[in-house]
Amino acid sequence: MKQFIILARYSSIEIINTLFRDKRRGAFIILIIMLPFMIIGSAVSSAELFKNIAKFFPADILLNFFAFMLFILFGFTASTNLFVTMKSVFNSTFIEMLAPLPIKTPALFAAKIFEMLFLNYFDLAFCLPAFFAVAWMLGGGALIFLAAASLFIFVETLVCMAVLSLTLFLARTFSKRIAEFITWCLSVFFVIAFIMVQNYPSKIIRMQPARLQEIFSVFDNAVFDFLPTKWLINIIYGLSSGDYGLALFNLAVLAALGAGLLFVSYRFFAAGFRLGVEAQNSVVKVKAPAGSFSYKSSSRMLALLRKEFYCVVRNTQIIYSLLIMPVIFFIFTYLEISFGNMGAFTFMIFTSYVTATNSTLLAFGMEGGAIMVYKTLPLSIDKIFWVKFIVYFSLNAAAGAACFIFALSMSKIPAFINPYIFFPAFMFGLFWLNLFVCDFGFYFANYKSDGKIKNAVRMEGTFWMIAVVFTVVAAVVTSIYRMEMTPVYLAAAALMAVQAALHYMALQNYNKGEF
Amino acid sequence: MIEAISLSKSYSGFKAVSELGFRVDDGVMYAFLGPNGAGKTTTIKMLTGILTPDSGDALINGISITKDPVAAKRNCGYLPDVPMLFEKLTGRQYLNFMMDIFEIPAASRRERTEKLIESFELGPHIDSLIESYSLGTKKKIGIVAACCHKPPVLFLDEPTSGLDPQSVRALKDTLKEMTGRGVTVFFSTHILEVAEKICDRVAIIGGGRLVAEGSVAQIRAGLNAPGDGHDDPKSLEDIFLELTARNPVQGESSVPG
Repeated sequence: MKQFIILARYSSIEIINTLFRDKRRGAFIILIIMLPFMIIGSAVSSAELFKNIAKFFPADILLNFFAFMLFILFGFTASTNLFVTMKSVFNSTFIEMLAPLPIKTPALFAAKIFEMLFLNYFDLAFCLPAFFAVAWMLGGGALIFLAAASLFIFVETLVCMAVLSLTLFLARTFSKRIAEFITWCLSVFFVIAFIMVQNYPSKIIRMQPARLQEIFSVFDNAVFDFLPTKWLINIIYGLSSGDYGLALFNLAVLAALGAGLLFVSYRFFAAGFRLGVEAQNSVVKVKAPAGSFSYKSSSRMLALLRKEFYCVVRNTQIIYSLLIMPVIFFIFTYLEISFGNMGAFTFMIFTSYVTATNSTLLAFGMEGGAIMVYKTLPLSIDKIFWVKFIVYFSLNAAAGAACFIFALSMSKIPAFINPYIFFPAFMFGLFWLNLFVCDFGFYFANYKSDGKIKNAVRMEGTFWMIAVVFTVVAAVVTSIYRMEMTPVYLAAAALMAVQAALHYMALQNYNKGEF
Repeated sequence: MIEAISLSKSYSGFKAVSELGFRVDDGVMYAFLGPNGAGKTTTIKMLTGILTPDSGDALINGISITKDPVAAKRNCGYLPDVPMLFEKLTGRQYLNFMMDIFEIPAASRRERTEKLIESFELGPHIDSLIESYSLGTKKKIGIVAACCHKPPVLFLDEPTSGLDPQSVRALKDTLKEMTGRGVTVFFSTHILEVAEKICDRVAIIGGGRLVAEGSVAQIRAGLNAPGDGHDDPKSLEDIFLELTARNPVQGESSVPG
């Protein structure tokens, strides 16, 4: 316990130093200030919706519905959690720093769970509001909220233990690439489920009562009693309705699950963490037997293109970033599921936008410390920039074109749009978007991040990228409401000015070399 | 030939390198010594064009690194202290990439690399992705990449750290062979024994300033230090400790240097 307290104390100091002493503290502090507003705002709107639904259905069905929603939310955050954990397993700074110290394994395990809880702070913005909304809906007073907050931390700990077990199981059982692929598939599944659940409320509002009854009849099923989130909700329901027996029983069931997870995850941790670390060092052989390599010469431009292409296609982080949204687009369009109430056509444009920000943004930061190699070579930065841009734009254009052809074949392009005129315009839009994002990533590149999975963009870069998205969305929405294009033109002009400024500043930084 | 002309660099008010000037002629093996934080890496980064100096300039074979960096870099090979390489390439692909950039004819590539690959015992690893290499192996591939295009000037930052004894020997042999061909080798090291044994000239930096320069014998004579009462002359280690104690590092830099 003493060792765990020491570890937890210094982990906390490290986090506090990051928040308040780091150069990037401004962005962190803004996020911290925004977080309570996000939680309260989300909780209030969810609670309003839940109260409306509650008018139509009995408590049993409602509780099952809430349990299902929470399960998907926790699953979604757990799947992102899985990526973070996978990263910490394969980067292994945690274990490499602490393993040589005289620390007992239980303390090491507890410190790992503590670290995971902190790393997944984003769950606060997703799961906590929904959970508070349920507590509010069930007639929660101040004490019920307190209980909900405590239960939330408990459940998050369970999620961390489950994620740790799964990660270590994957790391032990499969090669790094297969483990990452399985993680990616799980993430895609939960992203899709999450989007479907997010779509539910707005659909429910517009539904006829008969259709609503039909849909909600799904939740009149005993299978939902086996969801851990149902036990969680039963605790809150029991506390708020005075049925303490129900609350205690479900708390005991949840505690039993916790004990089981503790046992399994600890066993995996004790036996498998080092194996996971070893997995990162597994030699990746390329199918080129020694001696067969031909030292063909090529022009500098071609050499750069080839290098960039190899580095992109061999980097699972970039490949997954490129594929995730198009895969979701294909599945949603095929199954005719709406994404955030967008039509397939708008969703196609959104997909291209997100794919560019997911992939092209990483073009420079992905180099990490190897950017120094470029700096010592007799190459101008213009050449390096354009080669990177061409490779990333080509991949994005291919993904965009595939989405376009698919949408066309599914008759999802509106009839008033001529595809022969729209397609070149779409490609030009992609060209400019990728150029903007490439410059953005160039300026905000994080060359200090190294390891198997990199944080290629600095925190403030992510923050400003979100600000850009909001600006564009606000301009488009204002234009639609006012029925005039001025806000869109203004936003486009502002973005071009921002891009020029970013390119100039990024060049200055690169030439100066103080990364 | 390398010529540093009043090179200076500051980081947030901290003077990492101040008015540094020296000249290294062709075919000279030049050791650049100094305690941690003295400004060695910052100097090498300015000489190789990674960092832009606040003032001053450096000439590589007579070409200014600040005014015509691309032309100056054509004459350089560089090994950083921590080898950061393109991790998703195999070792051999990385070497080929370097030779493409330095426009080495295809016909001579195999001859240029295979001997170095053999000397540094890289054969079993050369067709694996660099990300799977150990630190020492990355350092070795970094050395081969810096040498394979036969640059007239070679910069090596802490080349022996992390290398096994066989590789240190291979490195010494390679460097001797290169200086014999007229290549200028500039390297920083903490291992004073290596500097004393294989280098023609030595420079000692302290607090961002050059505190001594010349052959070990010249520096010893300059200090007027025949010995400390014993028969043996002062070693480079004694000289280093004495000189750097007179010029302590003022503070820590946020950028390694």
